[in-house]
Amino acid sequence: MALARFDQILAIQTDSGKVVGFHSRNLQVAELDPIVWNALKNPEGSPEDVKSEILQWNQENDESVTDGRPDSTIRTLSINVAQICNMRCSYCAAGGDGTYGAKTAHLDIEKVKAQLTMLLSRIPDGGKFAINMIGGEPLIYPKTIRALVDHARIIANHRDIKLRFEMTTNGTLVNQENAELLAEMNAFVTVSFDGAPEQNDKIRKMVSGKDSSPLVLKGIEQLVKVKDRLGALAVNAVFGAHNTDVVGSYTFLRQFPWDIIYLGYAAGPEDETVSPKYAEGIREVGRIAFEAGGETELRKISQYEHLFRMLDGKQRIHNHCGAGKTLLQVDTAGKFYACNWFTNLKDEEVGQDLELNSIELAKYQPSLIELNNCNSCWARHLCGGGCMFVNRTKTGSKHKKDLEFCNRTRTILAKGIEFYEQSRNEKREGV
Amino acid sequence: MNNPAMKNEKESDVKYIKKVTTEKSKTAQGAKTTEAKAPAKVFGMPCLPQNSPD
Repeated sequence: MALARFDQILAIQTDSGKVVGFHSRNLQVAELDPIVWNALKNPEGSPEDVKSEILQWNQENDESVTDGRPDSTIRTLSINVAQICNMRCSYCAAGGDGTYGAKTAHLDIEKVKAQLTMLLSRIPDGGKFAINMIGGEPLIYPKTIRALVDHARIIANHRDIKLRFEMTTNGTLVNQENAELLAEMNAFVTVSFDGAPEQNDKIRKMVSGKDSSPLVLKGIEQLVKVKDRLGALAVNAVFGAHNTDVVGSYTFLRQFPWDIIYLGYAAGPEDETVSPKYAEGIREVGRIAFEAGGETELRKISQYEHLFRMLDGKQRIHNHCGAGKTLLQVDTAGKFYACNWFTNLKDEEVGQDLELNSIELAKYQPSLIELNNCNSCWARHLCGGGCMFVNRTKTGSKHKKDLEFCNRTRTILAKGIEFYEQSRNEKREGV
Repeated sequence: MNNPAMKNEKESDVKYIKKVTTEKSKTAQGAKTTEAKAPAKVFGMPCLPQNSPD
């Protein structure tokens, strides 16, 4: 794959020689005649009508494309149900043991209920609100989960607010009873699992030091039994210096009936060598999925699903995520953060108990694209200026972009645009 | 550019750049499974944009 640029236009020369275009302001994808590629590479010697057509497309302003700026209404509360875990994963971002460095076994249920009441009071009647339960391992405390769900439902039912419950679990505690709890919640469940036992168990051990995969596989079995009553069933595998075998993981994981497969990346000091391997892995699993089942199979991989949704939705984004804008995190001590990755970072606290600090929250509102001078980047409105936690980890400032993140993101997006063009053309031509 | 006749004329001149249409009905037909069951926004890691109305 090779790339060429002219202002708003990106041209992607695929491995098969086909050329795909992307208009970065209009979020348009196009099939380009190879003569356009030649013109972008060698403008001096190219025909006038080709240059004219390129200029015309570049100047177009598609008024159907909107700007997706968050409205700063918190619509998701992520709750650390527990800051303890029954596993010890080598790459755990929550302090290595699920505690984020602040071990609090159990949250204060009454305090969190009051916080939910406060945030739900800001949602208009008939609106939507999501509650995301994570940890540590949230299923250590199923009764706490039940209590929070019941509380939120009482408030929501009175005001016709549509609730969505989400949970990220390591899967080891999903017995029949817990699976039934999740089904009753119509939960969107994500199981953290890195692939085949020989791959997963090197890095995801139980506290006892035993392998986790036998328990996780039993948990997945329970979840599959109730899948029809879940909002969605997803898996999240994490890659980084500890594991770059994206293809190996995907090949194993795809045997299960996931709605979505997250293949995430843990940024770190070895990014310069590790990050390109990861990005190449995501490109390769995209190829495997697309060959196996076209767009439907491809879109089970979260990066591609997300890209297709944005291109179809024709909405430019200005921030990478809703952290601190539409999303808040609360830890077991009742402290608020913009997202779970900031838990227990004192200078990232944005509130506590029933108080939200508007001065601190204001730091999460500006467009990251503008703060990071991303305006010359073709991927800006698909990326949104980068992850603030990765920025902080890699550059020391949540507002300063990490160039490895940029490279990784662009590599994956370019491949996704190629798939998008191929998929839509196949539909048009009835392939 | 707001004159429809003018626009049609310009589009007929296009020879080298064939834009992909994004008719949502076609999208839904092609991705019934994900349309029906995929989370409306990403949850857990990796965090991705949550700016959609959902």
